[in-house]
Amino acid sequence: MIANESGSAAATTMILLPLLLVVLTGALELGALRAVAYRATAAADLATLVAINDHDEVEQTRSGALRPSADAEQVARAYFAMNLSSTAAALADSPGAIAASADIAVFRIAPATDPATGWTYARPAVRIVARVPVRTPAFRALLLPAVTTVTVRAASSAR
Amino acid sequence: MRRLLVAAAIWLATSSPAAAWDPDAVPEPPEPEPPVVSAPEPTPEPPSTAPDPTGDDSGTPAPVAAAAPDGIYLVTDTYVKSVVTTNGDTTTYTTDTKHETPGSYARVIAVVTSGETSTFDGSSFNGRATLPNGTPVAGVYYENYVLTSSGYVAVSIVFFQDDSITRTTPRTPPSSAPEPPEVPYEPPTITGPSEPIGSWSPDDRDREPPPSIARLDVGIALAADGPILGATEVLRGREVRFWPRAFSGGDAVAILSWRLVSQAPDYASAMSGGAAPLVAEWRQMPRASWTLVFEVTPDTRPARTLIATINVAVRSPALIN
Repeated sequence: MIANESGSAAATTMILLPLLLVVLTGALELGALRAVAYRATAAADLATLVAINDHDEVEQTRSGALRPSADAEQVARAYFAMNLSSTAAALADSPGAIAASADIAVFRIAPATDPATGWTYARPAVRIVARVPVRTPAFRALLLPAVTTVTVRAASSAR
Repeated sequence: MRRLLVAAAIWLATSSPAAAWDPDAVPEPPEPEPPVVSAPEPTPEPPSTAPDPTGDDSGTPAPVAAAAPDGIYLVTDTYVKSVVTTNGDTTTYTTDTKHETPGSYARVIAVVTSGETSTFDGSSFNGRATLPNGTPVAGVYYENYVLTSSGYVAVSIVFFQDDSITRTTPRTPPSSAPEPPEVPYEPPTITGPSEPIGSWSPDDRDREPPPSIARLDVGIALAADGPILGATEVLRGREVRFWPRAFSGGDAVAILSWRLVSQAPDYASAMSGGAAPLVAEWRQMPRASWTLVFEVTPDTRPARTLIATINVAVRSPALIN
């Protein structure tokens, strides 16, 4: 009787071990993907903050209102690329290319509603929506896509 | 073996019974605590009936106000600037206001007539203008309050001027009366218990003409040639230049001097000056709003000191959503 049970346990382990490995690999890759997504989101957050931290002084002198500077979009794109560079090893594309293809919008007049996100801005804002391709080699081993695209959104305003 | 027995005996002797839970035990009633003699609790003050201007119903306890001063009300119009206009022979002293609800409270503390002195003279942050003859103008003194957790706290006094003065000319007699002989021109005089100013007769044509009392607007701009602004936004940690400016009939008038009479920001280049602007910077966390109040003396004759104000909203970049 004991011998029969021992054989059953071995067979169960043989059958379940691959499944356990698949689950473990997937969990680890998902965790890594999540970490990269957080870093990409932080890169976009900081880029919008930098862009909104400068303002149009001519407009401020004329009306007293704080409006984003004329080059706010370029500033946001440049800093997004710089901030992504610290995560470049995990990305499937260059930070510059990702930033270049990002949808960056500057809302100089408020209140405004963002058609891309549905967000409403009570004050002038800078917004980034970017698709960040992340390498996921473990997924490839599991016959899943080797590159997973993460969409990040960030917006900032002077409040 | 003996050592083992001795050790077991020592262990049993020093052990204490476990405080195990007995499901069948009948719980004993708790022993009553001795009574504590304490002073009677004071009766709480009645809560303020003033509405919360922020409309915050987030569950935080509303501040309990002390006795509200008589006649206090929620401010819905705020002081912007004092205005002096001249239309013909009439000079009017009014106060520009802005319809807004900053969340503060106010009450009338004195109503003064033209020429009447008050104990509050000199206590308002915007001062009290004087008529050309030197007597103070009529108006109302208000005291501003903010509602804190300890009640209504008086923060400032503001004077809303409301007065006018008219130069009088000799009245024409009734038409039924015989035409009087032509009389020599007499200078216009100003009504009220004052001496006429600005009097001028044709005989004085060789002398310098008297100064005219024209509308004089003062305010604050963010550039030496910028427009006057009633309010502005600034970024925390950035230097901003506040230029006192004056206009007479649409023409810019040089500024002789200015003085900051309100609370200064975290950094101020000076509390008074002349042609140079006030360089200011807010470094602390922004609060709701600031109001900078300047005493401005433009280069006019006679020299007049007027009040210029600008509301400042300090902002800082922040994430959305």
